[in-house]
Order: sequence, then structure tokens, then C-alpha cells
Amino acid sequence: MENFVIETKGLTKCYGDTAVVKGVDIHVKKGEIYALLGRNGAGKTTIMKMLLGLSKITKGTVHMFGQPFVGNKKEFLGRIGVMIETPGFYPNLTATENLEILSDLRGYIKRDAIKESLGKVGLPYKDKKLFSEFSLGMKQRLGIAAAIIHDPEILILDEPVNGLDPIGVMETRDFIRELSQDYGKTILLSSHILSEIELLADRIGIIDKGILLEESPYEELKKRNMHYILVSADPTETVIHMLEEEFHIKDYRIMGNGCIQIFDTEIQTKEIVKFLAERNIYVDAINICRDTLEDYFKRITGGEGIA
Amino acid sequence: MMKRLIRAELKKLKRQKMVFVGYLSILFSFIITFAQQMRIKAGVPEWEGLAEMFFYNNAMLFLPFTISLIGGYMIDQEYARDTLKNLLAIPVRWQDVIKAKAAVLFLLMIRVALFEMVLLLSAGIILRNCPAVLMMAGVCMKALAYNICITLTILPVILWFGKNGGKYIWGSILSMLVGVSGVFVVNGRAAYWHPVTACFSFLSDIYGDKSVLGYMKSGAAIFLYGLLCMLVYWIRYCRENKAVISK
Repeated sequence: MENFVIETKGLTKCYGDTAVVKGVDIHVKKGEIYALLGRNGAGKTTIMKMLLGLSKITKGTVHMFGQPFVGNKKEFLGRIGVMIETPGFYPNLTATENLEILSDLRGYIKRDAIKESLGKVGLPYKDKKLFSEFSLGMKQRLGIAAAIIHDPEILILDEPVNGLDPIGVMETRDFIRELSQDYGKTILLSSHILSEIELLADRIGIIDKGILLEESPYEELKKRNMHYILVSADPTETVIHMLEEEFHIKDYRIMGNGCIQIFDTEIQTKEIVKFLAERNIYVDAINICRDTLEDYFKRITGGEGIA
Repeated sequence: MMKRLIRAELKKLKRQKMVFVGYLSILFSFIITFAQQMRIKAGVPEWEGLAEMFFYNNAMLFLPFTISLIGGYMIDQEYARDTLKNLLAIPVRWQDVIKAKAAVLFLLMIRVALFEMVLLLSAGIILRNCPAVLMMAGVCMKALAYNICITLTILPVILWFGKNGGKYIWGSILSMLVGVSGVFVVNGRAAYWHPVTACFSFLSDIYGDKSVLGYMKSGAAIFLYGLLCMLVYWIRYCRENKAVISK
């Protein structure tokens, strides 16, 4: 059995009769970057809040560091850094003053922790600018600084690049990668920016309407599902029937424009062409295609794109 | 932990405009009282009379609203600015934060009382008719006692309305009405039990029953308001705490 630092079993959240998170099983390994991918309202933030005890779990269990996450929350939360939704701070205080409050309440912060965490996110220490004067990107940076101030083992970041400018996005991405690679931090993040997830995540969990549709390492996901053969030939129903019989393909999808997506990429395209030609079916086009994560997301959620 | 929470709450008040509103309202009260005294005493107000009327005006018109406004704002802003989640993720218990906020509100009211003392002492110097230093000191201490008593009796309203997302203003208006209603009961039997006049037996030179029974009734009323604070605190922040987390 693998050791997971975060593990949920059948995690469910209901508001009245409406279930917003349904039986989610998440498995986050130590040191990896796990990305929860889903549209707005898919249940990502609710899952994160339940993991932290900020939202009551209707059903299911959470294990953190191999132990059930109940009762003595301080023991766990002291090892976790959090940034949930838009960072909330006191507008009448500076970044340093805001962090001083949080570090004082945590009580066991090393001396230069505030300076270091602000430095890591590119915000000046002891600056006189008040939080109310911060841009959205600066607020986001301060949120990350607050999450890392106590040198946590796990970081839970909800939409960490939301509102950042392109340079800020790049810096945050590098920084998150550095935390994982150089400092061995485990990072659970959520995002709807697919390009960021493609560049960051070691493992992806795709969530839609509160259901975790898929959870697998990103590399495996790429190999397994985002690679397919696109065949254009008429009549589609006959073609697919013949291919099923001959090549035993099971994982395919008939597209609206008369094309067929075959996800079993072990089959040689020339064999398909030859086989169909011998049966007087002429192939208009055949290609080996590579989906983007967005295409794959659309396919698996059976709907529109993520944005 | 409570010490750290109180320190954090004090820090949160830095550059807080709402606190200045509190000082301004007291200054306004003082100006009105001074003008009233000038009119009554035909231009030569007495220091004792000025102090007594200043306390009366504060208790009836200014303090309940000001205390409720500042206290409600302190609680409400944790919801409005979405800073509550930061505290809960440390983790800090919300009911402990509320206790710290109440403690800081009392400290703030002590500071406001010091401001009242400064105003009264300045008036004494300007009027050049101040009484003996000891008597002045005693009167100044009354400012402190008034503020603490009224903060305690208004606290249930603050605790009740502070939690209702932006409704602390209604709590402040209710407190103001409670304060003004004191004008109508100050000479009657209900004065012992009314939130702002309960302390008059002990503190006011003019109002309140100075008999043993009067002191006992007023003392019992203040004690009951203390119990009411604890009850509201328990209902709104301990019993309903699970409901907050489940949102």
C-alpha cells in the first residue's frame, strides 16, 4: 500500500439535499504537485475547505500524514500552508503587519520568516504600502507568503495564479516547482488554467459537478488518453462496426462531423487504411492526433471548455 | 494564546478609521455639553456640572452607539474581509477570537475614557474654576467606570448583531435607541434595570437611588447583563460554531 500524505475516501458534501461533492477519493503522494482541475463551481474549493476542517464533511474520511484528520486539528494544520480563494487580509495594515499577526498567532515562527516569505514571493519587507492599495497580483503573492511563512510540509493553494500578470504567473509557477523539487513540499493546488496545470502538475484530478472523474499522473494521462487516431470515412456506423470486429477497439468516439476518434493508438494507421480499402470503404483522412489537456477535459466532462 | 489574540486584535486597530469615529463622537459630545452648560450657567459653566452633564450625554446619546459601532465592526470585518478563514486555518477558535475582541473593546473604551479625562481636565484649566485635585481625579475615574459599565451592558447587542454579515449597523442603531430610551426611564423604577442607567446609582451625582437597596438593584442588573453577555456569546459563537464551519 502506498503512503499518501493526503488521502480522502468517499468525501461528500451536501447542502440540504444537494450534493456539491460526491464520493471523492483523492490520493496525494509526498513531494508531488497534485492539481485539481475543474470549472468554477465544480467543487474544488469545497474539497480544499473540507480537507482543512473549514467546511463540515457530510460523509467520508480524510487522512493526513497517514492519520485520520479528526479532533486535534492543530497537530495537522501547523504542518499545512493554506491559500483558499481570494486572499483576505486587513486593508489598514501593510503586508509585513498582516504577516506579523499571522506569525504571532502561529507562535512558533523563526525570526526571519516574514522577511524570507515576502522575499520568496517578490514583495518588499517593511514596505509602507497598505494592503488596501495592493493590486490583485500583489494580494495573491501575499496570500502565498502567508501560506509558506511557517515552512509547512503541505501547501494547499486554491487558484494560486489567479489575477497574476504573465510574469507573475511564470514566477509563481517556478516558485511552486522549486518548493516541490528543492524543498520536497507536497502541493495540492486547484486551477482552471489548463496551460499552468500542464506545466506544473505531477498528478491531475479532474473534477466536474462534484465528481472526481479521473485521477492519474499527468504523464500517464498524456500517453493513455490524449493521443488518438482520427479517421474520416463513410458510412461511420459501418466503419466503426468493422473496426470493432477486426481490431477489437473499444475506446472510441464518433464525432458529429463524421470522424471517429480511436484512443487505442497501438493500431497502425496503414493497417486501418488497407483493411477498409479492401472492403471498398475509402478513407478521406487519417491522422495521429495529440489532444491538449483542454480537449481531453472537454471530452471527459462531456461539455464545453473550462473557461 | 489569549495574550497573542489580544495582541493581534490591538494590531488590527492600527490606522482604523472606526476608532477615530469613536474619539470624534466623544469630542462632539463634549462640545455639545460645553454649549449646553454655557447656556444654562449664562456663560460661566461650573466644572462639576460640566462633567456630570458630559457623562449623562455620553451615556444617553453617544457611548452606546459608538461602542456598538466599533465592537460590531471589529467582529463583522473578519467576515467581510474574509480573514476568518486565515485564523481558522492556523487553527484559532473563533470563540476565542471573539473573547479577545471583547477584551480589546474594553481596553479601547479605557482609552476613550482617558480621552474624556483629558477633555475634562482641559476644560478645568480653561474655565479656571476647577475643584481640588483629588476631587477632579475622582470625577475623572467616573469616566472610566461609565465606559466599562456601558460597554458591558451593550455587549450582548454587539455580540448578537456582529455575526450577521453587515448587520452590525442595525445593532448600533438599536444601541443608540436603547441609550436614548434611558432619558425616559432615568427618574423611574426601570432606571435600575436599564442598560445605560443601571450604573447611575453608583456613578451619577444627580440620578440613581443612593440607598442600599438601590445599589443592590443596580449591582444585580449589571451582574445580569454580564450573564446575558455570556449567554449570547454561547448561543452565537459556541453553539452555532459548527454551523459557521459547515457553510
